[in-house]
Amino acid sequence: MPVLPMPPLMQNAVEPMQVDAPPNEDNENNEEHQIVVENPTIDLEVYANQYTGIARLDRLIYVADVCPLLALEALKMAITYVQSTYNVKVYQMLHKRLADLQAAAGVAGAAAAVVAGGDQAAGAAAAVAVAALPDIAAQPVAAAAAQANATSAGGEKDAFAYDAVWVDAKMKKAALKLEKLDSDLKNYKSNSIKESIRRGHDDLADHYLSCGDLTNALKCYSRARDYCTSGKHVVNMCLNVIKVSIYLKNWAHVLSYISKAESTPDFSEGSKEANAQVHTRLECAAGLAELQQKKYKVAAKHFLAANFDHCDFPEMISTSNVAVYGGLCALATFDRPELKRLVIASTSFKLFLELEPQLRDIIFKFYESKYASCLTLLDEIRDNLLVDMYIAPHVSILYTKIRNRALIQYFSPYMSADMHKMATAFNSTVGDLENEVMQLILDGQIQARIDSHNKILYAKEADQRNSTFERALLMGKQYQRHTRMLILRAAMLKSHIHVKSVSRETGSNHGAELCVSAGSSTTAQLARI
Amino acid sequence: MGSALENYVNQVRTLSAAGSYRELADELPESLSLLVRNWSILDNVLETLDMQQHTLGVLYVLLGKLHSAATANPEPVQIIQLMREFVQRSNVEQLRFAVCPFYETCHLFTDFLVQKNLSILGIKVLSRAIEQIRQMDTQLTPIHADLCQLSLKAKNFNLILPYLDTDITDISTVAAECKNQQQQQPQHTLDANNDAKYFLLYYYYGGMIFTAIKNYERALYFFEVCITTPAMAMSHIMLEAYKKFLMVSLIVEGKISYIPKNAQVIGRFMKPLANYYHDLVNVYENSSSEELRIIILKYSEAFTRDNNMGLAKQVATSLYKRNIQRLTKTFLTLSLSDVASRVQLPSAVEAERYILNMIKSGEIFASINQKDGMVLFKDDPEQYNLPDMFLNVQTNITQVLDLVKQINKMEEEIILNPMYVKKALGSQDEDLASQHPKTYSGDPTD
Amino acid sequence: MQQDKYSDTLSKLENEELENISPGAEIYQQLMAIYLYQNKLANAKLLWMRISNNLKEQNKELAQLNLLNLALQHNSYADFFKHIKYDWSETNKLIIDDLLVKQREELLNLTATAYVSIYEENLMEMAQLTSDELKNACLDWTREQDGDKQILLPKVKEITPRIASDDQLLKLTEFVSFLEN
Repeated sequence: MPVLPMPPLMQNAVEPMQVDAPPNEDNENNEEHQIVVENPTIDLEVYANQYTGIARLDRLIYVADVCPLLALEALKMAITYVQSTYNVKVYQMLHKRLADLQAAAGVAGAAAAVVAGGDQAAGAAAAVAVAALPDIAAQPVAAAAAQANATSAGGEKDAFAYDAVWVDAKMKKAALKLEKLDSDLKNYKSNSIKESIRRGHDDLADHYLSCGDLTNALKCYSRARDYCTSGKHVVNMCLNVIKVSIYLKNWAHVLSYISKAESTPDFSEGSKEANAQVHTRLECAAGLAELQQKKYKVAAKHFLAANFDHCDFPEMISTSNVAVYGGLCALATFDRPELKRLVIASTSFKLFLELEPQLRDIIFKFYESKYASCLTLLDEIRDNLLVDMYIAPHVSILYTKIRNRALIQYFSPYMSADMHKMATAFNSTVGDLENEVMQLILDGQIQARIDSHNKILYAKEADQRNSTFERALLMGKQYQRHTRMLILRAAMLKSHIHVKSVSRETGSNHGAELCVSAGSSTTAQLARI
Repeated sequence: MGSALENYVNQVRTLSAAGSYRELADELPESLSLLVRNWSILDNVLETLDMQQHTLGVLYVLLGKLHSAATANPEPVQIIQLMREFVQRSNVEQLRFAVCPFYETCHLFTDFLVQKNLSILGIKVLSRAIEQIRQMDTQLTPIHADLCQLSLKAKNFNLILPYLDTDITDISTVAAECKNQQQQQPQHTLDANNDAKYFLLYYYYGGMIFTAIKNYERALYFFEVCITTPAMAMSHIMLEAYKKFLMVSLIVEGKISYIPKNAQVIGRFMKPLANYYHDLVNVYENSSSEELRIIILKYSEAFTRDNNMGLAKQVATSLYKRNIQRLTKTFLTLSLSDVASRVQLPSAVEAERYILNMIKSGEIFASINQKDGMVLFKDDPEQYNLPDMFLNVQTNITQVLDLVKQINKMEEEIILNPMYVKKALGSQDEDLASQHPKTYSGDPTD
Repeated sequence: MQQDKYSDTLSKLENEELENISPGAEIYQQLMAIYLYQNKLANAKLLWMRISNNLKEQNKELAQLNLLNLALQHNSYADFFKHIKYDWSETNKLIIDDLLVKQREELLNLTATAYVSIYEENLMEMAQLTSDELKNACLDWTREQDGDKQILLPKVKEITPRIASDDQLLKLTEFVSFLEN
């Protein structure tokens, strides 16, 4: 028997227990930082223009987070955009990030400059100063540094200098507007005109949103609820809440407001055409929420239910997003008939897929069992998916699912398959494939055995008679065990066997402890073989 | 002094002769302190009594002797001899009137032997004692726990195993016996509190014995009984049993498929105290022998303290075996070195050794090809068409039918119980009267 | 319970052990030998654990028996066949001889089922047999030359189907009569 080998030099091995941390911000940040995108092929300008408001800012910031290549461009775009809003906080944050980034670049540049004998020492020094003081208080310095950098880099892009005047002005303006909206609302309230109050709330919420204060925006949108006079208003309120909840990544909230909206009488009764847009919007929001909760199949169905003609809400999601999210989820979770019926044959989803020809090809290739090219294409779009804040955390899971599905489908018609050929079909090595298939067999997804010697995968037929016998005997055994325990338990109850705290105390001075320790030492010896 | 003992002897003789055992049994406890005080001349008393005729009298003398053992320090051989003779020759009818003192005698005898390190000599005595006092083969007595303890101490399980293999359908408790006999002696109420203790000990020791002879399935059953015993407070016996339950469960099933629903006690008291073991379970489920080895090393101090290190090593071995078994499900052929690397064994030679042993014990079906260093995994050759299997199925069916009969009998007993009838009818009336749905008062598992 | 020629002796010895305060080495030796023969390794191990220390040290034969015990526990055939070569006392000799025959047969059977091919030297090491002895033991196995090593291809023994026992016939008759009625 194996005596445990001596401790090797692995004392610092990673603790295998992983505490499932709740999905708080920290955790998300961690996940994001794990992803580093090397070579996305997207046109950032086009990408950003698909969205408005907070959605555009969030997405640009995410790109800046994960993709060093596009970070600078993304930040600059975000700055330009944020200046059209009251979102001073984000403006300051963006500038700080920009400064950090440029400082880092600056150091590198300075090093090069020293070699070249240039006169950028000032810029470099400033950059170092910034790097040393990377906190918010160092804002002006950062700005200065940024400016210095910008000028020393050739005096271009003054547009991206930190504009303290703008910040002040915006803050004042925002405060003023807030005050006005607030007093308006008070007015309405004193007049108790429901409709005005509702609008007042909405206006206030819009303003908060523009300032980037999501929590207050959500509060105000929700408050409007008490002043809704028609179903339409309720639906509108729901849509607002959903929108903000998405920004806040509160998916449970999103889902509950979707069902609230759907159950509003006017909405479900109203003509389909009029409500189509709301419908699609709700489907997309639901898809997004389910996607984030890893319920990919449900998500796919929601996205597939979106209507292309009414899909226009840049503050939430773009049409090509719907195509990608829906397509990938469907690929990962649908079986062949479902894929055919719900995706390939769907006239409405076809329009979405037109926007993402690569994905369309992937789906068709998958359906045509051309797995190698399908997987190659998938790999090609991988980087582009990873800059997308909603799908990025799920890419690897979805890819594994798609791959497994492909493996299962590939093998399903065969009695035996050459693993070398299979490996080529899946762009992988035989060794890796062996591990993948092994996992699938263990999960019961493929009924097969691997001949590792000849590298052949053999389908295994289950012998029904034998397995029935096996199951029956097992069941009998379990039944007997269970029944015996039951009979014993009846006896226990009948005899009032019950552990009471009294019994423990008297028991302890009655030698129980002695017995226990004495006895257990025996087994320990016995069991040590 | 002497006269008091003479009185005792006379009392025993007269009442025994008259057949008034009940009266005798009620009066004797009062003489116990007298007997203990006069430990030095108890042998003289014994000479005047006959084990067969004066069973009760002798029993109390024995009890007195054992109670005074600490001061008297008697010759162990003599005590053993006396006990042996007593359980051979005593009169069961008389003994029935003094079940509790008899149990007590056995407990004290056990403690005495354990102390003197002569456990092995008590095994036969206690086994005989059980035979004598129990009313049916499937009755559990408090002496069972003593017998288990002695067997464990003596490391001799030949006699205890038949007892452990019997399924218990009835439990003899001190509380019930006292009630039967309307006795209210103080020392017995103390023992009545220990009913649960002896019950738990029996199942705990039994579990350990089965673990020792590697009948893990049965051990699991015993530990499970131990930890599912109704409890308001946590007994330390239960805690130890819980720790072993977790480990044996890993060996048998590879996971904790079932945590008994005795939720309150387990969840609140035992889980926090068995942290190490839960960590072990979690790591085991990752199927990585390397991680398991590390965690066992890490906690080795705690395991050693609980005297569970041996079991922990068995758990480690079982994971290697389980992983090899997993391989047989996925591979037709595999090289020995691949086996070694996949189950994290140090070398192909080691892997070959494991596989050979597993083939020998019928845990896997495979054959090794030394020429090219491959293993060929096969299916279970059992085709369920041989006479042996037929017989196996038949015995299983018979066993199940017996169980069903047993259950029917129990049900009949309950139905015929006047208390039950009254209650069943009463609650029905109540239901009808108040129209109160009884849903939440029912068993939540329904 | 398996019945064989030692069962009676065994129960007698077990009884004796329980009755005596300090049983002699004789009893322990025989018990150990019979346990080993009957393949009750758990019993053998427990027995060893309850033998008093000075007896363990004084009695060489007992120690030798325990070496066999350990070898069997660890499934180490080589050790087993090494340690069994010992000058056993008269009382144990018969049992040990039986044990040797039984184990050797078992090893060969196991090899036959567990190996498609095995190097001769490995089997020789395991069984502690010379090449010639091995040849005699497994006459019907195929031999091949692999480089400079001999390789053996064992032949699986046919399992003779067991003849239905009386018990079973009884059951079957019951079925038939049940069906007829």
